[in-house]
Amino acid sequence: MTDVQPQPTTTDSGIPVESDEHSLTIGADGPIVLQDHYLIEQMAQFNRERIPERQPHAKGSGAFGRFKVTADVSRYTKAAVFQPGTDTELVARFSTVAGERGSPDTWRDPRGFAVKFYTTEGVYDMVGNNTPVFFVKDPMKFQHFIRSQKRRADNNLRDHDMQWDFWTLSPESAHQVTWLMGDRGIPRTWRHMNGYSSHTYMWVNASGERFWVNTTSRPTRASSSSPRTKPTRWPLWTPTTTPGTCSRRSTAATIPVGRCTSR
Amino acid sequence: MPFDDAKTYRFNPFDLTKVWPHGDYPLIEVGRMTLDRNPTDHHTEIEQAAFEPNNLVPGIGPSPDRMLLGRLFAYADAHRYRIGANYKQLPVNASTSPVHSYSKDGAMRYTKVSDPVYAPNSKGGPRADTERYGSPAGWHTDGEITRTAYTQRADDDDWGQPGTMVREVLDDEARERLVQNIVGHLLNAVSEPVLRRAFEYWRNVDKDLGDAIESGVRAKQDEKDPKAEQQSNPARTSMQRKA
Repeated sequence: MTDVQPQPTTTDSGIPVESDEHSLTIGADGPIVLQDHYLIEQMAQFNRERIPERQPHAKGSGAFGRFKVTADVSRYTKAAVFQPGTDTELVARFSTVAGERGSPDTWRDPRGFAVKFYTTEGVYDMVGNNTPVFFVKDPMKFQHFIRSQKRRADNNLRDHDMQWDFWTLSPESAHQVTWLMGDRGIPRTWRHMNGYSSHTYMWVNASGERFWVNTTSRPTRASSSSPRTKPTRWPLWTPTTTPGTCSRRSTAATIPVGRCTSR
Repeated sequence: MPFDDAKTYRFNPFDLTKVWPHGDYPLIEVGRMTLDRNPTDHHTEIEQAAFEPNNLVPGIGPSPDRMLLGRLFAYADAHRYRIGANYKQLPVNASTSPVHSYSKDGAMRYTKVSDPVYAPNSKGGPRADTERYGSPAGWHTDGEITRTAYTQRADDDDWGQPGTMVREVLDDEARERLVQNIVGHLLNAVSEPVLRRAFEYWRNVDKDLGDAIESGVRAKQDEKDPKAEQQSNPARTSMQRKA
């Protein structure tokens, strides 16, 4: 790297700067002057680097790739993205749900599984989870559910009493809590998860016939989880295990990671 | 699932807490997703990526699932707040097929708007192709406006599917891990009234599971976490199972 002649530093307006290290002062030991617009630009821009994190699903990582249709489902949908042989560029993001942006990837939690397809008929998003069901069935309860999984008002700690209070008063949560407390609650890596639409969607074919569809994406390697023996210590020393894994393993040219099916 | 099956299926197929048994509706292969390129800037390519279930293309539509219908609003609203009104112009979110919308202005807009800025117009502006795209993916509905749960069907109870999963899908080892995970979770400062409801909750899923969870919790409930004092964390005054 030291052999390469670096580009001259500029301001955000492309103006070459005088120094990377020294502010503009009146004498070497004097005060900084207001006309040091480069210093001001750096301080002001730094103050504005953060955007609000996502309310749930704040912690995540992603990668780019493509979706190749390997079968013929044209009798179920006319969507261009799913016609035989179609190859579509996409971006995928995987995430935990309750944790903040700096939280461990290894918390017991469902995992978000979102895919954005850049199709010839506009952007198609499939925004699901690694579980086929959810904790509640009416959006009126969603905000309260997420708050019960995040942090208390008084001490800013997560609180199992709050979680179980909500769950046990919401019997419709039982199916998803059974998934969550089982092996799928801590997937080994992003590469070892199923992805589900969870919701039912409608597909319409070229003749106008309608079908109800749930989609499932499965890793080409077997789905794998972290049995609750060792991984509970991970958060203590590797706060971001899964993005690291994702980066290392997807450096190979092409790694098939998922087969997508519907029913 | 054929369209008409939904009307009479034994449970509400749009209920987000249920799965469709593969025996009734087997999987049909569609294709293969490959991820082969990492982002080089997490912020612009992933943090500012705006996924929204309302991005549905011709041939794909929503269902009467209330959770989905709520999400069709909530996601785009979240992105307008956390990224800004023109978030769809960012490269990771932008359509690669042509955009001919009437949206204009707003903070940080940079793709140029051109006249005419209204429709209908006689100035050559975009016009909806109703003949080709005019049929929304929808269904017939009718009823009194109300605030109630979904209409109950024969198999719509909350405990049946998790019970089947515990008894028929999990093997003995997976079932034991489930018990241990729940016991450990409940031992982390869950109060007595909530604990009693939790045991009942799991007995409703499966009697043996609920009993095993209660005896597991009761056996360790009075053990002190050896690290509690050092950490002075009130959440750890009772035993927190670590493994």
